[in-house]
Amino acid sequence: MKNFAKILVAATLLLGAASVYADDDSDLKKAQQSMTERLKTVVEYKKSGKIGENNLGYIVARVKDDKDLDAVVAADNADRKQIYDLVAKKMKSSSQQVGKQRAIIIAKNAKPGDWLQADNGKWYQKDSDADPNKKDKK
Amino acid sequence: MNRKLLPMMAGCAVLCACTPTIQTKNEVEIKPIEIKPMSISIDVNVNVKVERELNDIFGDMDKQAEQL
Repeated sequence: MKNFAKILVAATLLLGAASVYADDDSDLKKAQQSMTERLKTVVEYKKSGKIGENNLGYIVARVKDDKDLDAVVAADNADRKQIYDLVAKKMKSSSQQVGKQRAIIIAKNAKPGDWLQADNGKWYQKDSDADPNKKDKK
Repeated sequence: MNRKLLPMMAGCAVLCACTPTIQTKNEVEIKPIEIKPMSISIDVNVNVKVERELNDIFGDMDKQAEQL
């Protein structure tokens, strides 16, 4: 009877742990799907210069009083934060650090003309003269 | 001369007799050097893992974005 009780407790704990992991996985997939559905809109806004990528891995509206734009920015940033939190939890890092690393990847993959924020806080367009990473500055 | 010399010699003899009781002591304290483990290598490993995880999650999205 005692052994049975121990086995029951152990099984309950294992199931609990598994369900937490499954919840994280499903949250991640939801956030990914949401971002994918919004991707075309975000890319269009980037091309038009209405949003920029900051150095913390989030997008920022560069135009004021545009409610649709603000809604897209808020929704995308919420998904990003959720993903960064999940990655930070898994990797035992901080959400901010994960965001900063994502910002580096985003800057590397950005298209010419996209607005980006450097480590020192200054905004610049990719491949412009102000781009600190631009090679062969003349 | 001998009268003056004798007390002087006696004084010197007393001084020599006290010499063993005069001690000088030098202590040199050597503190052990504390070697602290460097945390840099650990941080680099975490950053590499985080980058891999981010590429797994966002890789497809980034490829799609390139096409748009």
